Amino acid sequence: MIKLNNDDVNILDLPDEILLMIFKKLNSTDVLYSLVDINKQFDRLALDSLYVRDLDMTDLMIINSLYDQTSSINTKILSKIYEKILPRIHHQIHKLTIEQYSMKNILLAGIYPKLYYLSLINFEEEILYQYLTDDLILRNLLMKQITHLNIDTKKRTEYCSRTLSKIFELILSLCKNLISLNFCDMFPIRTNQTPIFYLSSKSHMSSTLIKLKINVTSLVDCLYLLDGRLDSLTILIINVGQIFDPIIDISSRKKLPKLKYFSFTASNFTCYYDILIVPLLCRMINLEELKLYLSLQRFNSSYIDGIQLYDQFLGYMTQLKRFIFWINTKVFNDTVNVELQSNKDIQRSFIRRGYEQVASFSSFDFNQDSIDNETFVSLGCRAIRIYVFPFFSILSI
Amino acid sequence: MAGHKIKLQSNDGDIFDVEVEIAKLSITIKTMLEDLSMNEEEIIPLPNINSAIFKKVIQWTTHHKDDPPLPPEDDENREKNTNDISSWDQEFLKVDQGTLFELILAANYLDIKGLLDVTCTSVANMIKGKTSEEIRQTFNIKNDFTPQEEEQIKKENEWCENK
Repeated sequence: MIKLNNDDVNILDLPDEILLMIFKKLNSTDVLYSLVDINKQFDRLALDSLYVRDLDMTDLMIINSLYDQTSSINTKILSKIYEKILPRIHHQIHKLTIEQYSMKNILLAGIYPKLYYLSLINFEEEILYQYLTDDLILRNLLMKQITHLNIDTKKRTEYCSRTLSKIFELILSLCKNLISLNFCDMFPIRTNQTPIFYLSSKSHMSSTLIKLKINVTSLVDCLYLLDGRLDSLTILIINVGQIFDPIIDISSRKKLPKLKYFSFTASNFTCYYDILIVPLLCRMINLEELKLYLSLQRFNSSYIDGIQLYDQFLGYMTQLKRFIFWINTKVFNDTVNVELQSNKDIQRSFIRRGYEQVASFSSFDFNQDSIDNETFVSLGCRAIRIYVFPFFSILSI
Repeated sequence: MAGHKIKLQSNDGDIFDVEVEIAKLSITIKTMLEDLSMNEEEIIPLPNINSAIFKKVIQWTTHHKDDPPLPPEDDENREKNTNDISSWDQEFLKVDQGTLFELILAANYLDIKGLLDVTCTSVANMIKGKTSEEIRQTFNIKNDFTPQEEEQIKKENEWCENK
């Protein structure tokens, strides 16, 4: 170890600003466990109301924890926080992030009168459902205080989970003041799909929910969410697994005047764009921002271009300020000779409609074993009327 | 201009010839040269840094001169995993505590974000997992709570124990 005769400089010689920089390198639990009760200066900094206002009691920012789905926080650390720290700061906490195994003790350690934002991370579905039905402290908080809720469940083996549907339904009926809900879409590396189709409630679910971020199994679930059961919904960010034509007619024709922001991602190819997605978008008459990420198949038809998008739904969205999209169209033309647009044609079709900076890429794949000539065009695109953003912003949908 | 040098003087009088591109990793020096129109022939005084620490700073900036700039730190991209110090930096930071804190103060004064970041990370790693008593011993911190204040803290905790 190199020694440069600086023994007289101590950590307490660092200004508060730098000590806070060091504290920010640590998880909240490390700060509360190691730096409280040392001396008055450290207590003042570690228990600063701005610092403890948003308390993350997890260690899940470390990517490995999300993969192995275990928590790495030592029980000794948590015990000290439950017993000695939370009773001193519970009244200052506005936002709280907790995990399944520590939730009970954390909720018992205080009454959290200012808590309005709660994140429940890394829960097993069945256990979360049990807490939501049986734990009086949690139920009381959700019922009376929580306006913003984030839910994250562990990766499961089965494709469709009725338990997740029941949790979704229970949360909406329990949280009387809920404004914003992120339901199992907190971390890109694990997103559990919720089949809304299983919901027992077929009618009204929440009149307070304004923002919903969710993954659903199919477009049918998306249509259910927009059938009027969430009548204050203004922002919907939705990832859809499959898009297929439902056997029963569930597609409401009612307009959605309150919806201002719609982000729709469907990574699987679908051929139901024209008959299911377009009518859905046409209902959003007051939309201000639209994000679409679609992979489409069309038969005996042309690529999606600016003129079609305008005629199909953009023309009806008179309030639209920003439209970001990535649309990949695969076209199969076997019987009809359709003249396909060139890249330049597609780009011009957007410019003519007042949209700027749209990129397109087309490729042709003539399959010898098939009678179909398959071609596709990817519109790696943004079309923004007012603002100009970097191209890659479309990837952060 | 590559290889072009400026003179920087530590607070104990030593003068260092440092390549401009390396010196400019310090936003403080960069600002002096650019905004204050300082002549590159002039000796730039660094009143808050001694020569031993400044040698270390030059060693660090020379090694990291081609690093990409760090992203702005905010709540979204705040990196909480504190174990990610490169092996070169780990070797570089094998110094006594006093030197480490002087390096932090120097990095802060010179506004070298990368050096400040890695030195703060190093201290955070020394804190992680230790009890408050171990922290006091590690950093030679005196417990300055009065008996009355300790009693008050105990009373606050009783709320939980009685619940």
